[in-house]
Amino acid sequence: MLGLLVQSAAPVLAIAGEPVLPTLMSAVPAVYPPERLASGVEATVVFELDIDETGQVTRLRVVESAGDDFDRAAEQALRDYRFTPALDEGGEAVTATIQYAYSFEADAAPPVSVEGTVREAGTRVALSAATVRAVGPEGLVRNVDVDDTGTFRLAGLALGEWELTIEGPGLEPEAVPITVAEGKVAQVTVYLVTSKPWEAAAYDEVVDVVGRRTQAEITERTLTADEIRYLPGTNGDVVRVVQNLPGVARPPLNVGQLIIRGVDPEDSAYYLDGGQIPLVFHFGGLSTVLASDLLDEVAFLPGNYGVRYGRRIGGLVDLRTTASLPDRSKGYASVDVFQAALYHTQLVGDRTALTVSGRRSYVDAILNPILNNGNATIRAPRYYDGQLRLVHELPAGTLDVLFLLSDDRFRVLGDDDDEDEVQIAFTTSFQKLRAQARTSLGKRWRNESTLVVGPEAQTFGLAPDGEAFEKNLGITLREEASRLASSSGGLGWRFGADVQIDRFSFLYDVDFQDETEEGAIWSYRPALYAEPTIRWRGLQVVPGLRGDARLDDTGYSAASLDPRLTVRQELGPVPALKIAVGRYSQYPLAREVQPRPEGVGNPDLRPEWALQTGIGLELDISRAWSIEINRYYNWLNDLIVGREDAFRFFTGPPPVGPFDTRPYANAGTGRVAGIESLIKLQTDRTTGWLAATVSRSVRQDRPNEPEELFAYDQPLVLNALVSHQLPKRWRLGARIRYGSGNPYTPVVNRRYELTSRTFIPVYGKRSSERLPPFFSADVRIDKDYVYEKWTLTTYLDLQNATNRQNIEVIGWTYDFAEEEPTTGLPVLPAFGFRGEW
Amino acid sequence: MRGLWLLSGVLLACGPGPNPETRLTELRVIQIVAEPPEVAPGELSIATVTVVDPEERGVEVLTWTCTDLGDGCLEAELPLELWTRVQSPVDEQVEHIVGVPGELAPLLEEIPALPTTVYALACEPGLCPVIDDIVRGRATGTELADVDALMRGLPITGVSLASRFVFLSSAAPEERNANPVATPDFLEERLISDADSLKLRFVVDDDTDVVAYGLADAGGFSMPAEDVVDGAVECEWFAPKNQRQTRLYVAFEDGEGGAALWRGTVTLPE
Repeated sequence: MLGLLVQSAAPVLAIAGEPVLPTLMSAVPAVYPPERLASGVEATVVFELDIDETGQVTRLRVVESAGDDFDRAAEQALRDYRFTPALDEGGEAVTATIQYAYSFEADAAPPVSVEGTVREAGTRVALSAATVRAVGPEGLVRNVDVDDTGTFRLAGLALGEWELTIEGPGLEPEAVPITVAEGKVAQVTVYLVTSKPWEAAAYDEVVDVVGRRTQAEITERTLTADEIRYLPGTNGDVVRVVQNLPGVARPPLNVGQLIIRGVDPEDSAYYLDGGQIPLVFHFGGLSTVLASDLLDEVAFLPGNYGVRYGRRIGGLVDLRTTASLPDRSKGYASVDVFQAALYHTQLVGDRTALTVSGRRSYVDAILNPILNNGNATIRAPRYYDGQLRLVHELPAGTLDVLFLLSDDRFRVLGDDDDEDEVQIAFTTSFQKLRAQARTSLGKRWRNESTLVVGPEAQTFGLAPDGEAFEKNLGITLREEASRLASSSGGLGWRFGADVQIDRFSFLYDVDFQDETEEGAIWSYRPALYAEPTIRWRGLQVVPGLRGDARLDDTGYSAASLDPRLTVRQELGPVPALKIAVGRYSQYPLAREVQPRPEGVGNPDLRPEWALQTGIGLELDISRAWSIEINRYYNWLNDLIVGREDAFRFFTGPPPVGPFDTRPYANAGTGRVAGIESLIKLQTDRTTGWLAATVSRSVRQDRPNEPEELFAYDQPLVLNALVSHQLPKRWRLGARIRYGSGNPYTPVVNRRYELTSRTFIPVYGKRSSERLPPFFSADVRIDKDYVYEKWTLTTYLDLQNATNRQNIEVIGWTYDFAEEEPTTGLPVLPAFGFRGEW
Repeated sequence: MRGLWLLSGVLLACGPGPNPETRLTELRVIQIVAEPPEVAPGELSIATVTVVDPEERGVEVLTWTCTDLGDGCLEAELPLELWTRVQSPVDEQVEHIVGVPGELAPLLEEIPALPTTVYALACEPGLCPVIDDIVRGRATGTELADVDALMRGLPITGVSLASRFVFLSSAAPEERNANPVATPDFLEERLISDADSLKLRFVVDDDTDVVAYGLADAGGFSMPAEDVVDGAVECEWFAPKNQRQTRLYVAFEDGEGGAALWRGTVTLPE
């Protein structure tokens, strides 16, 4: 099976006089493809070789193929062939092109000397973009490329000591000594460290960490990449990045609520794969209620979303889990100053993956010494969550079952008489089972069936005997069929039905409520929606219609019809113009329509609704830079006003007054206008963006009352983030946040009510004062230590590095003589470890 | 969690030593005791208003009653002099006669416990134009119906407004609420402290849950409020470092309009 030198029929090199053709000096045997050898198949591959003035093969071209495996094996060997150089008529070495035939003969196949596997250190992922250079006795040299499965073989090596050097772009070279012995195959597994990930072939795509879609939504931002967990101030949590996007105002005390486009937190919704979940963040916004690694993407839709979503007048966040099986079994364990977490996903066979994850906070142990004072003890937020997931690939789709639970608790204990006496207790918890089947129906049609079922509860206790709770046993069913429109043009469809069934119970029996309220109702909320997508050249038109209804066992009923339209026009290869308008309805809360005698509600309430309009422009300035600008104007109608203020202890930052204690009525209106811009920088080493939101949100509670600012109106919000990869697996990041202070109503005087011995504030003009602006600078540094089969990441996230005393919430002294605001956390060095396998 | 950080801050504002909430540092109406606290239409109640003026700048006190059924004070239909008074305190106190018109009797069939509110507005001289208007006969009385609007026009310092409900009742006299009776369980004439703190024990006679509130113009009580347990309560006062004579007040509230006030003076030894 020696190579056969074949004279070129028409040499490329014209040699005048008496030219001398290259002659073979040294040859190395190719590795016979194992499957071919086993089946006795023989073959010959004919190459055209370029040989330089030193006799080295500089280029190979297959002239007659014998199949990929034979071709590749022969090519690997020929690269190490050495020839005498061609000589011209003057005896000078010149380049030459010859044809060469390499024959594989089974009987003469050399024995395999070395078999090796090359993997990325830490992840154990097979690396294909690596080469192996073997240097043996008497300077013998062999080179071989690692194949797509991360393996390589060397055959026919001379007996003795050899040194293998494995290297590749972005990889730290690794040298491995081996001994080639008679009748033995040396086995080698090499783990290479990707010291410069941005140069490694496995990372050759620039991942857009804040992506955008071209579907029904005018503004849908998707968060996808692992890069996000390195951003400062996020504590490694992908969903927390949403808090830094345009359209999101910062809530007081950073409680984790999202204030999206100038509406109350409870007017926006959180979804898990299209099924609603009660909350997305644990107390304090420190962490998402499920492991980020379960998520394929986080979709943030601040407004003008499609008919798939409804029952809200604000924005939404949809956590979307990975639809496909993971490429390998993997997991991590992490420990930081707030919490410990564990995640593992295990492939079971070829079609099934099982995932277990969970976390438990111990932030109470850190914060209690800071917060505690006097005789009482604050049990700072304690939370845990857990997830169990099974994904099974069906012949034409996926079955996905996820169980998740979350539990948060906050308590203040102790008084003068009893240090264990509970003064304040607040809990929020839910357990949800989400089952989803995604199947392909052919001809670009697909079906998605989702069931989300489980209880959720919030409880509030206030000494000595105050009690309140809101509990719900919710069932959400969604059946959706969709057909994607071809990107080149055509018609797409989305049809769906979702039904939400709630058994809602509540009790409000605390001192600061006027009357005790309680109730338990069944509520049925069916919805139907349809949404065609029309694509023609660069134009995409998505009209949609959603119909919602509600029927309670108390007799309350209501219905709404919400038409929506989105138009997107590509303006050439780069920019796109988007226009959207739509109606969005939101139904009253159970307590708001609970009639007397159990409740204090108004059964005549209608759904609140918003008319949302928006226009946006996307512009990619270069491969690295892009800009997105959106202008929106929303009208809010039939807003429910009245005694709702006093219930904010469940749903939002603390109300500080004045409170509207009048009966519920659909008397409120509002207007929200704003401009959002997102300037992104995305290179292979740097991720960052500047998000700017300029907005104004006003309300008019009743027709004859003056217009006032929305409670969380923040005219200017700026968030700048950047994270940069450094060599040796260091990362450095920074975040700067600026936000206008929230408006508040000042106390201009007080009066002393003697029966209760309390001072009652006398408020001035509503929302006539504003808190000072919020400013915070965060810095984060990460370092990965890569071991063969796992990676240790350490980080320091210095939050509020300038130790600015940001006023979060206004407050007053006990007699309202002076303002006594609450400030946010001081400089907080958060450090942690994460071991990933 | 939301507002719980704030609420917890309020709860945590206590601890060993004088509580700053119990120290009187500015003009304040500290008590209104109506005797009786529950009256029938056609009867009278005497409201005794106690005003503390730590800086002794002088004070005028406007007192009035307001029975508001949703359309402002019913009293506004009467001449001002029948339901308002402007006085200067004598020994920190003024009195106001609460007259309950007999015409309200039919309302008590619909609303068993109809409250009327006794207000006391104490002002340093010249700070409250409404007092001058009433003295000079320029007021109409409507400005006293909305006390929030009234207070918006007044400065926050040098002014104090307090209120107490007096309940109108058709119940038999023996079934009506009465003011608690708090008897000092110590010798008042020997209230001379030579220690860092002084414990004041009271025996309280009342059939409702009474709470005691300690106030002082120097030093301070350990707790803003102490529950009366088994007919007695003990309030601990901490002496100031640099003031020899201190006025102490302990107000008692039964939560239903019944009230009492004990006043005393502590002289610290040289």
